[in-house]
Amino acid sequence: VNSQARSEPVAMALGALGLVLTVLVAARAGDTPGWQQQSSIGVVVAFAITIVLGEWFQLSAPGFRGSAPIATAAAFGLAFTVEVPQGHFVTYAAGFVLAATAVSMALGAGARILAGRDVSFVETTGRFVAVAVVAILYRTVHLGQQPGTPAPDDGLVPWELAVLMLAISVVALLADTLFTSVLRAASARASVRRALVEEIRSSFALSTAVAVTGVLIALAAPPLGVAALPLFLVPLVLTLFAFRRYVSIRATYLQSIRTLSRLTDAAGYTPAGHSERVAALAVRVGRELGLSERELLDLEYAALLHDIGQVALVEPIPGGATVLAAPADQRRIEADTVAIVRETGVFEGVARILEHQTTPYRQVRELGEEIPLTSRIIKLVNAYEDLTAGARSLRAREAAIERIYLGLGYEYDPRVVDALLRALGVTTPTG
Amino acid sequence: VTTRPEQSPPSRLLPFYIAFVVMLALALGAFSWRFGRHPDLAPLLLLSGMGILSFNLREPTVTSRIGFSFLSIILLASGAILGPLGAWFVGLVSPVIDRDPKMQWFQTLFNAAMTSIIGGAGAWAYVLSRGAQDLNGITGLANLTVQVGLPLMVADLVQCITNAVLLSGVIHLFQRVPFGVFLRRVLVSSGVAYVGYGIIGFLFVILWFPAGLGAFSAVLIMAPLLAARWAFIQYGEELRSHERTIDTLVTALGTKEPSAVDRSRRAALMAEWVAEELGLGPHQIGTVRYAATLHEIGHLGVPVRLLRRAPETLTEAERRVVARHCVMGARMIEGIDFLEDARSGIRHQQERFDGHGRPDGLSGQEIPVAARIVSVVSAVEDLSTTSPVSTTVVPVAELLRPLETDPGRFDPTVVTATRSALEKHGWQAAVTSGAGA
Repeated sequence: VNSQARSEPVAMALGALGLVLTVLVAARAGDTPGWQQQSSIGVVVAFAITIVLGEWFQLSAPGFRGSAPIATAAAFGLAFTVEVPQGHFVTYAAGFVLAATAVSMALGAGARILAGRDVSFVETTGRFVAVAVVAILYRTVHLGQQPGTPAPDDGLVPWELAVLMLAISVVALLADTLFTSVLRAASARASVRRALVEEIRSSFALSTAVAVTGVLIALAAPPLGVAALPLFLVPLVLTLFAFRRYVSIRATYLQSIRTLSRLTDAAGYTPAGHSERVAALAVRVGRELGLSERELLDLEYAALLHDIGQVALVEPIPGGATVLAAPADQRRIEADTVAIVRETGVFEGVARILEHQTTPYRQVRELGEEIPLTSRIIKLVNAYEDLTAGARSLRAREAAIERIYLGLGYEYDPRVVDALLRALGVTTPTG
Repeated sequence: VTTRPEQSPPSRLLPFYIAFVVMLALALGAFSWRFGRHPDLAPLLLLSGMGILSFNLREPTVTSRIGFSFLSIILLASGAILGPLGAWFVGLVSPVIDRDPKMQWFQTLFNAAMTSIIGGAGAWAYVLSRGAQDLNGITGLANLTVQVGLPLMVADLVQCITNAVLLSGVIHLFQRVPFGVFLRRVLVSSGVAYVGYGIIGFLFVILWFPAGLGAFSAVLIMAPLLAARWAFIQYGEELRSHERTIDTLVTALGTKEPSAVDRSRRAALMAEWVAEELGLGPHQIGTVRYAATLHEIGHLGVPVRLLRRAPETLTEAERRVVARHCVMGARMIEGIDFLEDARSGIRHQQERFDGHGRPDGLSGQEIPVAARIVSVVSAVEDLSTTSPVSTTVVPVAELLRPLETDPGRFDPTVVTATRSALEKHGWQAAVTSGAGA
C-alpha cells in the first residue's frame, strides 16, 4: 500500500505532463483535421468515445494487474488506422492521435474519480506510454507522416503491414510494462527485474489479445471504415464478460475456503474465529517478511484451512489447540488437512504450505530440509493463537511469547519470531 | 460442442442412430460434391489444419457431458471461404486426429459424421441465404453485412441447432437422458456463446478477403479464437469450481464418516434422474443434485460416537441431535453463493408432505422441490442398505412398496417419478454406482 501511495503522484504528474505536451504539440504543428474532412472527424470521434468508455469499464481483480483492454485496443487502433473506405485517408498525424488519446483517457479517468471509483495513475499513464510508442514508431518513424496531411503510401502488402504492426505493438507493450515496473520498483525499493517478470507474467495473455485487436481494427478499416472498431472489439468484450466469470470463480473458491475454515468451528472442534485470527496475523507477519501478493494470498488461504483436518477427530482437542496435541496427532491432522485441501484441485500452493505446518524448524537447520517460509509462519502464528486462546491482554501475550521463546530455533524459525514480534508491536523480547 | 460419454448402459438403438448419422453425413458430402462449388486445395488444407488444432484444443467435459471447442467458428468461416464441400470436409477431418486416448472408434466416427454435417449444413444455409461466393472486393459496412454477415448469422444458427439436435440424440440413447432435457441443457449452456462467437467467423472472412490478408488472416484470427477459448474455459471452470467445492466438502465429511462419501454420490445420481424425470430446468436439476450430494453435510457437526451407533440404539434425545444435522448442514454452507438454492433443500429434507415434519412444519408445495426429492432419495438409499436382496427379479415397484406405508410422508409425484426413473436406469445402477465413479 505504501509503495503505491508513493508512485501514484509521480505517475499522475507524468500523465498530466503528457496530456499538456501532446495537446500543445498538436496545436502548434497545426495537426488537426479540418471540419470539412468528415471521414477523419468521424473516425476520431468514434475512437475517442470508445477510449473513454474503455477507461470507465476497467478490469481489476485480486492478484491481477488492473487494465483497460477496450481503451488500449481502441487507442492502438486509432494510432494504426490511416485509411478508410473508398481510398480516403485520415489527415492527422502522431501528435493529434496522442492528444486525442490523452484527452479521452483523462476524461475516462476523471469520470471514474467523480464516481468515486479507483483509478491507478501508474496504469493509466503506462497505457498512454504504450500508445505514444505506437503512434510515434508507426506514423512518424515508419510512415514519415507530416502533421495535417494524409499518410504517404508505404508500399507494403497487407500481411507485411500486419507483421510490422504486431512488432510495433510488442515494443509498445514492453514499454508500458517497463514504465510501470520501474515506477513500482523504485517506490517499493524492490528489484526492477523481479517486478518486470511479475508484470509480464500476469498480463501477457490479455495484452496479446488487446494488441492484436488494435492491429485488426486498423487492417479492417480500409474495407469496413469505422465499423471495424465495434465489430472487432466484440470478441474482446465477450472475453471481458468471461473475465467477470473468472472473478466469480475466484470468489467461489474463496467462499468455499471460508466455509471450510468455519466447519471446525461449527462442529465445535476449534474456538470460534480461530482460523480467521490466525489468517489475519499470518498475513501481517508475511508482510513484515516481504512476501509477494501471490504468496500472501496462498498464506491467507492456508491459514484459514490449517485446522480443517480436525473434523476427523473422534473427540475434539481441548480448545482446538493443536500446539498442545501430541506430535503424532498433529501430523495426522496435518495429513487429513492436506488431503482435503488437495481435493479442491486448485490450491496446490496452499496444500504445499500446509504439508509442513507442523515440521519443527530444527529440521531445516540440522537436516537441511526445505520448508517453505510460509509454513513456518503458519506454525508459529497457530501456536501463538493457540497459546493466547484469543485473549488480547498483555499478560496472555507475554505468556504466549515466553512459551514460544522456549522453542526458539528448535520449533520455530527465529526470523519469523522476530517478524511476529514486529507485527504485534513488541519491540524487545520479554522472555 | 462434442460429447464424451460416461459409463452407463446404452440403448440398443444406439448403433442404428450412429449408422444413420454417418449415412446422413455421406449423403450430404455427395450432395455437396455434386451441387456445391469445389474449394482450392491450399485454403482447404489450412482450414482443415485449424479445425484439427481447434478440436485438439477443446476443453472437454464442461459439465459431465458437454465440451467446447472453437471448431464451430472454423466451420462457419469455412462455409463462406470454401463452400459446402470444403466445410463438410473440414468437419470430417477435424475430429479424426485426436490426442484423447479414451476416445473409442465409434465416438470418433460419430463426432466426425456430426461435425461434417454441421459444417455442410451451415455452408448450405449460407448459400441459400444468398451469401456471397466471390468475396474479393466487397467493401463498405452495408455490403459486407448483407452479403456476408447476415448469411453467416443464418448459417451459425443452423449449425447451433443441428449440433444440439444430433448431440441430444446420441446422449439420449447413450445415457438415457430425456431428449428434450438435454436439448434444453445444450442450448441454455452453450447456445448463446455458440451464436455470439460466430462473429469471429465473420471477422475471419473480412480479414481474408476484403482486407486482403489471405491465408495470413488465419494467424491473426488465432488471437480472438484463443480469447474465445479462454472464455469457454471460464464457463467450464465455473462449473468445475462448483464441483470441486462440493467434492471438497464431501471429502471433509468423508474424513469423519467414510461411508458418507458413497452414500452422497448415489443420492446425487438418483436425485438427478428423478429431477430429469420430473422435467425440471437445467438450473433446478443442478440445485437438486447439489442438495442431494450435501444432504448429510451436517453430520460434520454431530459427535462421531452418535454417528457410529446403529439408529435403533439411540435415545430419543440423541436421535434429535442427529436429526438436527439438516439445520446444521444448511447453516454450514451458508455464504457459498452457488449453493444458496440448495441450502433450503438440505434444511427441509425431513419435512413431511402432510406438514407434520421438522424443522419448520412445511407442507405440500411449500417444501422446496429439492427437499422433496432428497427426502425420497435418502429413504430409497436406506431401503437399499437395509434389504440388500438380489434385485434382478423383483420389480422396482415392489421394492419401493415400503415408501407407501406412510402416506403423509412423501410427495406422491416424486415417488412416482422415482419409480419410473429407477425402472428406466435400473435399480442395480443406482445401488452399485458411486463406488467407482
